[in-house]
Amino acid sequence: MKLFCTQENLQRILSYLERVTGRQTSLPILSNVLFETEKGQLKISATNLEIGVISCIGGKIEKEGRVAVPAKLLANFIYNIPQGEVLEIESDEKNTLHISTPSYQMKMKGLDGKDFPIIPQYKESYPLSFSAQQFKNSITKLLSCVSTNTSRIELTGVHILFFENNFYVAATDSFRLAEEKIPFSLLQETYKETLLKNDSCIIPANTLQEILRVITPETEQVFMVVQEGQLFFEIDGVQVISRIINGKYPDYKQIIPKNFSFSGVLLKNDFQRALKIASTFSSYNANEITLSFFPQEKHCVITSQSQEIGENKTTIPIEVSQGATPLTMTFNVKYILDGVNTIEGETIVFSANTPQTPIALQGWNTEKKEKKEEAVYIVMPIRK
Amino acid sequence: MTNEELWRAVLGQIELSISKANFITWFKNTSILNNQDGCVVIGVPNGFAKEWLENKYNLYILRALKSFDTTIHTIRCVISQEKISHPAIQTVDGVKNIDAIQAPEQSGFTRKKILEKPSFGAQISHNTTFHETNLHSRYTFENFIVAENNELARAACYAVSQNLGLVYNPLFIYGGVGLGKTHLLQSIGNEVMKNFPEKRIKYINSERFTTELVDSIKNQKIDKFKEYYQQMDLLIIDDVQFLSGREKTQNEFFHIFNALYQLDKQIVISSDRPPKAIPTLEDRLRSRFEGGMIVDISRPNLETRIAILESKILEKGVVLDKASLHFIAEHITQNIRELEGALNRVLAFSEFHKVPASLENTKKILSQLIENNKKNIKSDDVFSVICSFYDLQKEDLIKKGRKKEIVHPRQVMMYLLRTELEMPFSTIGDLLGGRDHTTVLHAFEKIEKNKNIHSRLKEELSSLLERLYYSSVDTTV
Repeated sequence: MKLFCTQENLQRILSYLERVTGRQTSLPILSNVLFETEKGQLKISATNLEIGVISCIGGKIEKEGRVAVPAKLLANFIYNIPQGEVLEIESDEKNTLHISTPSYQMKMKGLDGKDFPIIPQYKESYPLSFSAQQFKNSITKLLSCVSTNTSRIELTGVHILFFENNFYVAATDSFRLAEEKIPFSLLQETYKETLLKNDSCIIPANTLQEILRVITPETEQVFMVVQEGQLFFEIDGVQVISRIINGKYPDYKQIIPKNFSFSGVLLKNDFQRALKIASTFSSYNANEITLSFFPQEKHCVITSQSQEIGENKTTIPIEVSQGATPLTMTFNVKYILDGVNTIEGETIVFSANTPQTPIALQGWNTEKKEKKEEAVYIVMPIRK
Repeated sequence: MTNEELWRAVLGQIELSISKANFITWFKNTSILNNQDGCVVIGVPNGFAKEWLENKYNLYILRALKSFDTTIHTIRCVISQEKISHPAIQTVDGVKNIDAIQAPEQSGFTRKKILEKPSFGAQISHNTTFHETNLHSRYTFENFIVAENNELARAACYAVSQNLGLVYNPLFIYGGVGLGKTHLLQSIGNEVMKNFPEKRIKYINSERFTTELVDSIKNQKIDKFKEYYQQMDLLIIDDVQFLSGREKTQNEFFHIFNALYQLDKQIVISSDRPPKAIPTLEDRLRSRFEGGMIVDISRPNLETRIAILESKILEKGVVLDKASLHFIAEHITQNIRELEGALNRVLAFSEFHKVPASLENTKKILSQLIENNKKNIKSDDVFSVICSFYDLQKEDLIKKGRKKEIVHPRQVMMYLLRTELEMPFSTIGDLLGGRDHTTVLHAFEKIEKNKNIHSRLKEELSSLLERLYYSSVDTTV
């Protein structure tokens, strides 16, 4: 193999691939990336057998070939070469890879490309696409809710449900839940039936993190297809393939209350500030804080206390749009704060029924005087 | 040949021709889904395995398949996902599933934890090594001697080791000290490790489990502790009776048990007595133990003891004459560990004095040991054991009265005095409030007859004997 390419291109691709390489020692080749020439391009792939990433960069190919080289070593070299250099990449029969510029030379021992796992590829045209920025925005918010407890494997991913022209992504760690709505466009009418039959799946959180890394601020569209047991994405020419988590996601829709007997609008900044203060006092007390709403007085009182260090109380104004009786609830402040942080805009609607049932946090459209329905964050209060 | 058998045979062949790492990576969780008209459909867990088997190993697989069935000409792979079922989150018709999101529980535990000063210095010991299974390779099924006293237990253990989590879950083994419970438990672990090296196995005794738990509470690492145990494919808990009276440990163990059980992970437990007889064991744990398979290991009979001694001799590569062997086996009856100890003593003696071990020597060497066993027990010991076992006062046994709760212990007492202390019937009668020797004779005959009929009585007697000879056991009661 012999070719020329630029340092920027290679660095960009390596930054997507490096995290995907496997760390398991049973199959050492997984810690490598595969270089191969294909159709006048350099194709680089990496996999840990759960996620696979394939991407191509342009360059001048002089001789075809393939070789697998250690990802960490390669990345450390490439990252430190000044930008703008043109790299000459060459491999020999002993699977040694030479990379050289006029001033930098490197030689590293690789493995035979034939032993590298074959990453499944989707070669047809993708049936659906959606906005990359909206997806990135929504998924970033959801990832904090994904469970890390591997004893319930289905909660370690993000659930995706197709419904009409939107899909709903949701994540929960069984204490709180976040859901977002993202519109998509169907590029193939025939795929509609497939979606009707198979309308949901669970995507591993790791896969989504990789996808977010690939999406740059310039990225416009993400293409996607769900197949038996696996998922394919294409973002700016980079293909990401992932397994699907095998399991039954809890039927979370029924957790989200349809109606609320109380709802009030708060200023996000005020609320955030009050919660942060409260969290400093609650850290000794299992993160417990108390929220009290007084519709008559039009204010909300946030308190937290601990016997060891002291207590605090913050009063902030609230615009009550529904409900007239005072309400007091206890929460884990971390869960509430996570939710508040993800809501866009300056105002937040807090909706509740009773002190024992789930509450919802949503954005508030001040002009139309209604809740923004694209996203909802549900938290369960602490039962006293 | 069924598809399953065929695939197992094929895997056996392929395993020989490729490296272990490759074999495990690519052939894990594969199976034959369909075999029709010479076309075999192989189910694989993911797209990577599909590509690899179809493009790289297709010839290996085809060749292996052809050696069993020459009509097979093509293979095809499909991604098949076994549906994992979680009983906890399945919705029963009509019953709403509200498991998705739950309130953080406010437990007394978290409150207690807050009061303690947080310390971050120490680590939980199990974090240090991943493969810390605690298994000793000395214990295997091959060197376990099977006899009628333990054949059921051994068969159950073997079945469990071949089908983790699918048969007999949980498996509960009970039996006296030194009868081979630990050997069997460890054999399961070793067998599984041999056949399925990727499985996560943990062997731990309940004492160590408690210590780890206490440490993790102290270091506020309780979540890690739970998570660690909930990842096990095979959890073996030895001497579970020591959990009795430890409420918090039982509580945590209960949750770990449930989590594993729901995921169909294997749990194996041993104890020196059946679950019913473990005092202060919480009912919900007890009923779970009883929900699986309960097997017991009883004392080995003479033939088994001889067989054990013979295998030990073979293992050590020494010679001992038959007569001495029989003598040891006849006189050390309670416990296999002691049997080995006696044998070691004889062998050490003969090596030390450079004399061959003969029956005479053996008798002399062991006389002290055997005497110890018998002589140490006095009638007072029998009294105290009976009183503590049946929760009675010594006076109750002596005074007149024919209440059922007292008559039975009194008869057992007479029986023990006769069999273990070899007292004359009339002396026994005198000891128990001047009763006639015929009364004692009647009691003796009654127990002698019933012990072979009622298993409960037999268990009762064996645990009484145990307490009599190993008084350390009953300190935990």
